Amino acid sequence: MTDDTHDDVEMLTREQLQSMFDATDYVAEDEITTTVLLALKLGRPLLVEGEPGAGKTELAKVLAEGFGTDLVRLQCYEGLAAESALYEWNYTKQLLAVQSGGGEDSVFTEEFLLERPLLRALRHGGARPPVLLIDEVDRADEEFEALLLEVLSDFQVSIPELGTVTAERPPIVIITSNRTRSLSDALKRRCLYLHVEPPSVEKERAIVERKVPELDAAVAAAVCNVTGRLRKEPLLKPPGVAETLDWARALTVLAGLNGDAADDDAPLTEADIRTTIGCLLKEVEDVERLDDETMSALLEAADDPTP
Amino acid sequence: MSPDSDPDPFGDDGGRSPLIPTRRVRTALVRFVADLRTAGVEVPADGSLVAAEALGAVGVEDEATVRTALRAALVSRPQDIETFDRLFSRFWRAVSDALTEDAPGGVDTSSLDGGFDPGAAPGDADTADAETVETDDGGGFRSQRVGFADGTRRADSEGTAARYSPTGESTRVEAASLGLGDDPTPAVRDLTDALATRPGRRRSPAADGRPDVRRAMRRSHGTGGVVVEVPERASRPDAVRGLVLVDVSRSVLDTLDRDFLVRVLRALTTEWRDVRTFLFDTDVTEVTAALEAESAAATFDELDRLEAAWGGGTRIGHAVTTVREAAPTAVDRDTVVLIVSDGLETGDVSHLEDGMAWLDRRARGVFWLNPLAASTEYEPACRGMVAALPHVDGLFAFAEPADLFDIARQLRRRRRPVGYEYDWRRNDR
Repeated sequence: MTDDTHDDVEMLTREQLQSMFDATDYVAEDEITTTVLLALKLGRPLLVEGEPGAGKTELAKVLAEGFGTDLVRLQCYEGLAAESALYEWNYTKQLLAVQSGGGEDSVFTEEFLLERPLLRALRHGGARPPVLLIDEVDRADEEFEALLLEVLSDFQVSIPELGTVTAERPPIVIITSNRTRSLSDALKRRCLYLHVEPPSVEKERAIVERKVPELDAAVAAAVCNVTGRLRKEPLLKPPGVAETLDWARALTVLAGLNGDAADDDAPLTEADIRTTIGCLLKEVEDVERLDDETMSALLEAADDPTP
Repeated sequence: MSPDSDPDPFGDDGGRSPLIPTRRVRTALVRFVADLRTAGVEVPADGSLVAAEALGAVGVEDEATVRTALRAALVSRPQDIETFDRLFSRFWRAVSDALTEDAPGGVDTSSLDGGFDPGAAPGDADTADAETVETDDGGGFRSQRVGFADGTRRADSEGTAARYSPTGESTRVEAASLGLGDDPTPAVRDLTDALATRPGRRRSPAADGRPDVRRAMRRSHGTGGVVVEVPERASRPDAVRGLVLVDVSRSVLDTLDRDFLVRVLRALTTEWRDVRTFLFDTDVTEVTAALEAESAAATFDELDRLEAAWGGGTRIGHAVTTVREAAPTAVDRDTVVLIVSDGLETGDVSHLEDGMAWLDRRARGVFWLNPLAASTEYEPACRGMVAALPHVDGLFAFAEPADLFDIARQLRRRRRPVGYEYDWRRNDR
């Protein structure tokens, strides 16, 4: 997406967006493509919700890569405050300036301003607007949501000492949430909404084949079948796509180390699963749940030729 | 729907010539949004405007695209998607009829009255099935097909669930000799610690609290006496404001020891800062004062005096509605609601849904303690639980003090899924 014909994001067509997803190995259904396209055309932030590992963050990365623009990422956390998200004054530099007797010059100028992600996205000077990823907004406090409202509705920020900073070209905003708490109506009202379902076995297989092409096709199918079966267990932390990809890469590395001495009849053995289960399960209680009965079910799923 | 139109609503021209919604489409859209709200979907206040804008961008030629566009504009919770899809098919029929019967830009709105009427749409399988589910012959204890045992919720599912007759008999509470049992107080303290919502006396550093002058002065020593930044601190929550609704119908008392129940309720009254407790079967009685009595025996005496009844049928929705009307201030945004019940609703399930939705909106958290969930085979398939679950933050087993410890353990694992299915003892039971 670097040729001039695609300069204007608002002029993007569905085919162009789909081909962009294909070029960046992002497997997107029509629903995702349509919703993203709609968000781009209407210039609205896109609120993406879904289980961890469903590909929410990846969507923003893919858009930035596809448009050939910068990805400005704001990782939210509890206690996130304005000075970490918007801007901050460089107090030390101001102090030194005052103590060195810098005359009557104000210490509240650009020189002393430290840009944080939101301000950086608004003042981005590139040819194309940046992609602003506000990741896991549900981790931040409700007060931070209020802070986002001005940024997301008017794409501007008021700095008392400097004035109002308005984006010349509003960034493409992707907000992700894992739904650990519900977001405010005011924030949701400003966004289009996309709920990303965990991928089906077929979609996950397509993702694995694109992202880990060196993995044998039969093993890739078995990997997706086992992961899909594992998600049916009541786990504290069900494996997401990222875990599936980690596991596929781990199996590839192990196959290389073992000199491809795997049993041709079975794409995955119990030993394969047990030695690499740490790629999929990240909670000790989940690992302990993997008893013989569950293992038999996983091996049965691995041998199943149909997804 | 012209056959020679570009199937891609965004088209090669980048969507610069979208179909402007006609008056009939706009009317259908407004009614669609109203129906979504009536059905309980949380549509943003300006949802209609954004939806119209979205239709302007994508046109109304392709059903899948329109569905996706309107879903992005009107839905903001995953649990609303199913309702949206169900109502969308009716909206789409109305739009299709409007566009095929009239010339482009048609202004006749009269035919829409019959064309887009969610309540009168023929062949509405969901509605028909829902009525089938609610059929009740009023008999005694029996099984009914209401949902799959694996927890999936489909109107035509085939699971079985136990139900009680709505005509159970109540018996007066009598001051009974109390069993010794395990003292649930430590477990209740643990639960209180995990659920704390109200600020206590102890303070700790926070990003949004009050200025911590003492710490600011200490830090200023490192910058020559100049205060560079002012740290803040806030009260740490260590107390709980609560509302406890306890189902004392016969079905619950068959599975839950009433001495244990009263001891837990007394401990909650002692440990929580502000709690109101109601017992209900077919009627509702507030027993907050009785639980504050000096001893458990005195509590039983008080319950006896209040004519609190044990062992009728279960009307959970009626109980919540009664509390809502009689004590609307019992729930606020800091309140944690505990409902002790097996969910075997014998009243109108729609009342239960409405009541739970109210609690869900008002309270900090709603937790359902179900004595039946202590069984490894338990699945929330009865219609009361199916109706309540979307509004519940956690469904847990409740049969012994260890259950309360496990609830506290799960709640401390912040941002992790909680519920009876994540009880680590489940496989050992």
